[in-house]
Amino acid sequence: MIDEMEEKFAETAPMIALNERLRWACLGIRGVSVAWILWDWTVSLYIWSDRATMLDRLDRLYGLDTSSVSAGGYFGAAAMAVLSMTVATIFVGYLWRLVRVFLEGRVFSVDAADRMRDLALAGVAATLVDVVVRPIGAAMLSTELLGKIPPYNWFAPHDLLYLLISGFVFALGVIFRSAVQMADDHARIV
Amino acid sequence: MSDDASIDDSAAPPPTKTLARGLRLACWSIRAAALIWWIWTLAMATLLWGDRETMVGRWVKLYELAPASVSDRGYAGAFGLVFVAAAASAVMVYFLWRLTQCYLDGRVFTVEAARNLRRVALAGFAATAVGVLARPIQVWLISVDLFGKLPLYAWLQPPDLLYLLICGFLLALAVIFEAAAEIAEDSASIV
Repeated sequence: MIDEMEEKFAETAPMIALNERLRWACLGIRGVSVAWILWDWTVSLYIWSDRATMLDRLDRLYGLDTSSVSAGGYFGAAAMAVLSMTVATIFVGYLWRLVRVFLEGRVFSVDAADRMRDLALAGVAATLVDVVVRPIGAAMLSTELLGKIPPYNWFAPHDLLYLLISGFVFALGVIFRSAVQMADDHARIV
Repeated sequence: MSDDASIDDSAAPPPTKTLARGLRLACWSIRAAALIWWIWTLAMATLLWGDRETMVGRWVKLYELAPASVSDRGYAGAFGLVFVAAAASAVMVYFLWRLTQCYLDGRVFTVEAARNLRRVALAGFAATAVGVLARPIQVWLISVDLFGKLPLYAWLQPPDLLYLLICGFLLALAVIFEAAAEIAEDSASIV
């Protein structure tokens, strides 16, 4: 029964054209992805560009001795934030690549399935980079901060959520590829 | 040469079986991660909001909030909204659980699986909306003074947009899978 459904799915999948609803969904995804990354960059740059306010916040929250923060240390911590944002931007680039395949009508293709897997891996990479640079950035500001910031700031529930979503998209990519390969095999036989 | 090939083919597991094994492991990992994430989020929020002194102390330090302006009722109401947001997230985890059940039962390429994927996406939209809407209500319940003091990005944070993006992407995938499965099922019923 399962195999029969899989075969039918494989036979009919290529018949699905990119309908109008899906086209709008793809354009919507592109729009939201750009809005998200621009908003993320804006907030991040806004926070890090105001050194006095940033250090004052850390002083109020964790009792950081602001005089112990060197210019080089602050620059390094800001660079870590920029690195994290850059990897997030690469993730958006992979999303655009996948959506372009959909917009070109190659919805059920090995290319689309592979790009879905690339997107999932980019999501994992972006999350891991963000998790790794957080303590490095704090240490660059002041090693005292490492002991003062609560442990849940280093690996927060949302980090696990991003890994979960990336794993889920990866699994969908594998399913997608399997369906496409069956369709290709079927087309070759016919 | 052809004999060798046939030996190799029989030794290798069929692609669908390999997929099924991998998918089974992926499904259980996704379920475990989803459950851990939900419990962890709720535990963290309960822990943070449960320590009223520290929580209010943070707002005093950051936004110069007068501690006396926070009423017991207002704080309890704001704390209660944490559970409303957790309940909305639980609905999403439930639909994710149902979707992975479809996959575990071998109903991977079905309309039911595609519709469950759509429900996951819609529940994600709802959970994000509840989280975003709960924020100003919580602030209003704690102290109206905070409204003018919080920065603009506190109301709509970058992760909120990221969640909307992810849900939109899953919804688009659900539409693709559903269309394919519908045609496949129609075709199967005709045959």
